[in-house]
Amino acid sequence: MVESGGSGAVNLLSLSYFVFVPLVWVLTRLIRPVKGRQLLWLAASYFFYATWSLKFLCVLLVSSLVNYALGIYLRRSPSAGRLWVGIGFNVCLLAVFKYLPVWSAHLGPGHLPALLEHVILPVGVSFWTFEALSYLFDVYREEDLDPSLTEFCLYLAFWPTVLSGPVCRLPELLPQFRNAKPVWDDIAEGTRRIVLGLFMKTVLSQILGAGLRPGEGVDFGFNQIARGWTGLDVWILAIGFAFQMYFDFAGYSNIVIGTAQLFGIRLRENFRDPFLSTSPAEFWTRWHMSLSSWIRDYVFMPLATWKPQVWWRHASLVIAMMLFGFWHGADWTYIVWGVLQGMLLVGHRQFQQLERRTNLQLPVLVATYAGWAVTFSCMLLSWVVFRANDLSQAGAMFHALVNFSSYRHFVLPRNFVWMTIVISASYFVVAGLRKLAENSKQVPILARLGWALSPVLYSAAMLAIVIMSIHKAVFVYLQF
Amino acid sequence: MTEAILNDTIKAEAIKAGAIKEMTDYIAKELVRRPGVEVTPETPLVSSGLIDSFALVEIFVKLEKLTNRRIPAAKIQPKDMDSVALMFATAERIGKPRQ
Amino acid sequence: MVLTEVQTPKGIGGIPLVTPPIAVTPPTWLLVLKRGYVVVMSLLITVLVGNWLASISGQNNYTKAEERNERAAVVPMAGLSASDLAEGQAVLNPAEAPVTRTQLLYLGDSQVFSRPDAPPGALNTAQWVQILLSRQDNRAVRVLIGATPGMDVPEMLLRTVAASERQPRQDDVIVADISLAELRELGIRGEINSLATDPAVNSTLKSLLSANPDMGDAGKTLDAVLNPQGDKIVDKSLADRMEDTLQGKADGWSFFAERENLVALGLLRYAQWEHRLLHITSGSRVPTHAEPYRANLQMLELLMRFSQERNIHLLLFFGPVRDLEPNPDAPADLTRMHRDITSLCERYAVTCLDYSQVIPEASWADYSPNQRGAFAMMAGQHDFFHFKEEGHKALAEKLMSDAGAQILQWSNQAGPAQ
Repeated sequence: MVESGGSGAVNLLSLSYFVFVPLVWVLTRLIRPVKGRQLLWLAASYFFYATWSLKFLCVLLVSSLVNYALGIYLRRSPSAGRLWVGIGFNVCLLAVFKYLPVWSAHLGPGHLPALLEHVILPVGVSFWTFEALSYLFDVYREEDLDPSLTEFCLYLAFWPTVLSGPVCRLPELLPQFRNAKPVWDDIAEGTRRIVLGLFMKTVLSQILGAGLRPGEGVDFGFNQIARGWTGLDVWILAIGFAFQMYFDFAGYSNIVIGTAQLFGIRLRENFRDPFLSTSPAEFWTRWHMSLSSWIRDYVFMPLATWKPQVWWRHASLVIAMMLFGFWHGADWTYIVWGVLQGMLLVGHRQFQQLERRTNLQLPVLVATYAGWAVTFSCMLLSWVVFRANDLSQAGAMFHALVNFSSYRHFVLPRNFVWMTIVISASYFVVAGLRKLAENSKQVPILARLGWALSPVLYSAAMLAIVIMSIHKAVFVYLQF
Repeated sequence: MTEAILNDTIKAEAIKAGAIKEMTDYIAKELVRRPGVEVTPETPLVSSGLIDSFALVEIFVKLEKLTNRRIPAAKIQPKDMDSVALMFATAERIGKPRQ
Repeated sequence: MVLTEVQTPKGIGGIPLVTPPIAVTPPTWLLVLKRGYVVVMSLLITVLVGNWLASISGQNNYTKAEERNERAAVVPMAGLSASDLAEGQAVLNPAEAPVTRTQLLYLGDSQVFSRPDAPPGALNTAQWVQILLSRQDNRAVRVLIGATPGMDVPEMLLRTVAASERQPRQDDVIVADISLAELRELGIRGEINSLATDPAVNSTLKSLLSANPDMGDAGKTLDAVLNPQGDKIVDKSLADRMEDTLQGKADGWSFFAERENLVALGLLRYAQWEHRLLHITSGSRVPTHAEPYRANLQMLELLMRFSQERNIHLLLFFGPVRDLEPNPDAPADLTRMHRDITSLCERYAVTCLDYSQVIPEASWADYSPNQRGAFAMMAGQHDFFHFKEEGHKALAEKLMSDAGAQILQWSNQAGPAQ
């Protein structure tokens, strides 16, 4: 698959973006009528998306117009048949751009029309297609939704979310498109989130992913070491990748949510301290929340309630998570990862049943920390499969994990090992400090002290962002 | 006639109240299982995180049994099931009586 | 100033239990001050600290100064004729070098050209090789330095393929200084990585790998180079030009312009602290892990196969090793390297020489007590990688004595470059 282009694009890490956003903000303040503002945002969104590719913009436009028409068609008679027409169109769109080129690469030349072998994946197609699907589902469920064409196009193309989400729902955005008015707190909080997001992406994720020197980093560990990892290397790579993904995608989410908040628009949260989860079920209410809730609402619930049997509910969980994996791409690693996640959720469910039947009551602290340790470890190991270049590499890495004699040394550079441990430990330290800070808000003097010292933190973050911006960073989730 | 309708209505309300109580007790004892947490017909369940999606499915199956209605799952969302009261209102709104 | 009423708890009969306080919205100027404080202070601290950091970034320029010294104009010295000086100088200015001679690409790490003790303008090994070859036949061979500090075998391969794709090619002959350090790591730095973006180089490497499917480890290492993730280079668009303009304007702020130096400075400070905390010295043992070693060996074998395919004359020698303990190179690792590479050279009929004991102890350099720059943390310690100026001459003379005639013979076979 040819990678989605974009070196000529306004991306969220470029200086152009930080000229583009204030410009649009100022113009928004100058335009009073709601319709005018919506048109401005739509024009800005299309301009933003067009800098990635005019061809991508054409695909987005076609998808917007067809889905809008499908919405009208469905609203006249919300039947399952008409809904399936809409689902079919969007799934075909995804298949053509996302899955067929990958399958054609696997099959070899000549098995598919040559045109399909050169298809480029429009950036964000997975995200705005899912938004379109959620709109059709909401219409089918007879939600009180009546967007204008401008509003619907804006919903799909809204520039903060068009690249990599969060996957939003029209019932949440439509009132805001009509009434949003930022107040000072929105601007302050939005700016704070943008700075935080930039720090997470350009500093933390970059250090973990690419390392500080050649021969370091998660990418090196997975891409350039053919085999021979020790057990410790695999754990470090698993931790490194988990946190790289988190800082990359949560960083992106912060930038996007912060940008929208500058305009008075509240988007769905995408992350909520996922590595503090004490069960797999809890993890999926904290990681990529916008997409996991989409899968829950539009795939799992309809599927699981189709049959009343308990075994079907478990199977639905595995199928839904498998589709979640498949959403990321057509590679076996994603599909196996999805199945693993489904099995973890089923396993957790079985454990809960066992607790109920045996009336098992562990002490709260033991249950919490044991649950955290098991959840964190399982998630880390599943990320190894997700990141591995193919299943055989994943297999080799798992083999290293159970080869206890290999735990005596590292193959990975020592610097990278230290960096990974420090950054991942810092996550937990910061989570603890945040909790303390929340509690300290009850004590006014501490809250004021925190406020007074906050410029030091912000400036340290901004300095680090500027220094690390020499590396050309790419958002990992742009590839999905 | 009017008296009959009234009696039927009172009986239906009583059955519904009984069903609501049975559902509330079921959720509190079997699904939430937290000693300090009180579950009432108005307690937010999904939005507060008291129950997860798997439990929601179990509630859905129980709801169909208690209301004796077939509820098209594709037509509902978790927010329609956020409290016991909302669940029963949803079942009445979009459910079809079982044959 | 606006007065607003606040809800208070009501007692029996709705009578307030306490006297309700009157909330006061602060005056505008106070509101502006409160709201502006964080923004203004953050920006102020950023600018002040940024400017300060930019001013100290020059501390990294020691590395740049070292690099400039290493490429400084040759200084006249006893025993060197004017044409010797010119030949030695020409090695440092490859762009000006005539291409009428056989091109000899000299590969290796900083051992090739670093003379820590010598003043700027002293000659390195490659320059001495050029001078000694030219004394025998000054029209025969042009030496080009392909060595870089910390070079490893993937980088050697990339350099070789890139040199081979030039018109005319720059590697009729390759002389490679092989050390254990080159076989420990698999990283490819940006400037060498970028060689693979050339379509001809990229295509040649891909063909080389597909024609040698048994070199899976080498293939894996090069995969990221040949198939980079992320954005492909496209024609400059409006957004590109806008971004370039903004970046140019941002470079007007010294802190922005000095980012790269600051990263290097940060890494240096980190390395210094790491050495101090973990008691690492220049003699601390450096492990040679099996996996990178195996991948590097495959890469070397690929280099040999490529050379055969392209009729490149290849000569390897085991670089000098300082005979002192503690030593970063473990004897067992050195023995393994000699055995494995000698065996490879026999298989591919590549000339392989052993110069590990060529440099006597007196000719090895030590880090200065006032060492600055990239090796500041080694101040006053033994240097296990670099030797004095006299060592470079001795090594070049040894190479000429063992292989000079062979190199000139290859040159005669090849004829002048087209």
